[in-house]
Amino acid sequence: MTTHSGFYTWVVVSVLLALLLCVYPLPAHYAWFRPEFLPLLCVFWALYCPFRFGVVIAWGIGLAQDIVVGGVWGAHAIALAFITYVCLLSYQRLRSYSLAQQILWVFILVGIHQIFVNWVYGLDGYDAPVEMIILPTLITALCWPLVLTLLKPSRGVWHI
Amino acid sequence: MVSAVLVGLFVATPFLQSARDQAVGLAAPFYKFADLPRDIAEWSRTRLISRDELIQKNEALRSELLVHQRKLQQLAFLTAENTRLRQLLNSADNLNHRVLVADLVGVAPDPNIHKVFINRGSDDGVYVGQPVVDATGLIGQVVNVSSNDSVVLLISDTSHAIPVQINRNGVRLIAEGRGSVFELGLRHVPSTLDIKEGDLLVSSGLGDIYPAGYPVATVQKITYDPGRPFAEVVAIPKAQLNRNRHVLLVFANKTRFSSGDQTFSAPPKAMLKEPNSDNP
Repeated sequence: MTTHSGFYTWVVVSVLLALLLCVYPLPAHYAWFRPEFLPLLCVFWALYCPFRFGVVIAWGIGLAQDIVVGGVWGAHAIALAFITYVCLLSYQRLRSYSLAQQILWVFILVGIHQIFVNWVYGLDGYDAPVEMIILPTLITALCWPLVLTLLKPSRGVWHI
Repeated sequence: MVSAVLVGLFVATPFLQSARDQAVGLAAPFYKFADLPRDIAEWSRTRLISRDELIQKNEALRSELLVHQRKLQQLAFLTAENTRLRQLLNSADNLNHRVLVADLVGVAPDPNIHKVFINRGSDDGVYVGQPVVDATGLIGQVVNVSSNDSVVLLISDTSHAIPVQINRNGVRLIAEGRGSVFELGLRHVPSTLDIKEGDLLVSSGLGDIYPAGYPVATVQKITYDPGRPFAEVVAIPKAQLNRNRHVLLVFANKTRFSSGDQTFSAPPKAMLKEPNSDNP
């Protein structure tokens, strides 16, 4: 039980940190280069703790992001829930991949996430040009090794 | 499924408005916390400064004040003249608006969404639809208000449009956001319209959101394409939408202001009176 609450504390802390990075002020010209850390977190937790991290938690995290970034409510929620679902279906395969292959997969997953988010934003009248969807996706995928290095040691701490 | 319902409610109905207002209070701490390094840098810049530098600055400000005071003398005369002329025209002199200074605490991270967070809320008398200006022009309007913070939609947001008129000849137009803080588009401009590059666009006061007479943008480029029914006009916003730290909330609608008077509890020093807008 204690390890469980520890795990969820750790998830909350990492999500809060990622949310801070989400809103950290960047100059307008670099705003498109901001990596999306929350999809990376969801992918990580879904791949490495698939029995404790589920679609509902991912949905909640997405809603928190929607509230904080001031976009359309439900946009990030549905996107994160979807990619978490995909990861939960295929975590055994994805975990056995090499780092390069994982980065490629993360690129595709984050791309799906971006498409969902932009689709919902489109309903509210915002549209991003295609290259501006691909660019942050690429940068986010390249951040995957960073997330792995930072979060993998935590698995030992919580005996995951 | 839940997401779909939520998105539907959010986009199509005002049902979530009060929840969204509450959420501003939840979101604001993140922006304030993320802004801490900046605050510290600014604090050190203002506190850790040499005496010589302060004296130098003081002198510069003094001479600047002198210049402005000279201009102000003229302004007093012009204001009086303006009032006299307005009385001649039998129109109310309603250009003196009360304003409230607010600090910008955060900018929405998505570059598509042009919204900013400011540190004044309903406790300070801020209301939804309140116009926001800076020293050079209109910035936008308040869209969500919590008790201590509120969200301002910038005029450059793609979901925003503002009724304007050309200051030179009074032609009324609509300026819409294009998703870039450096340009606005003018909607439905006939090719025969008297509009020139460099024309100043001021708010026309139509639409009951923005008071008339605040500078909005200057016309930058006009493209006449015979194949299209309207001319393509691009204007540059007068306000510095991407580099403000302080903004002014305008209490434009006097009836609304007096009805909310008892809730207005801002410190008196934060209130200041704007003598006139930039334009005659």
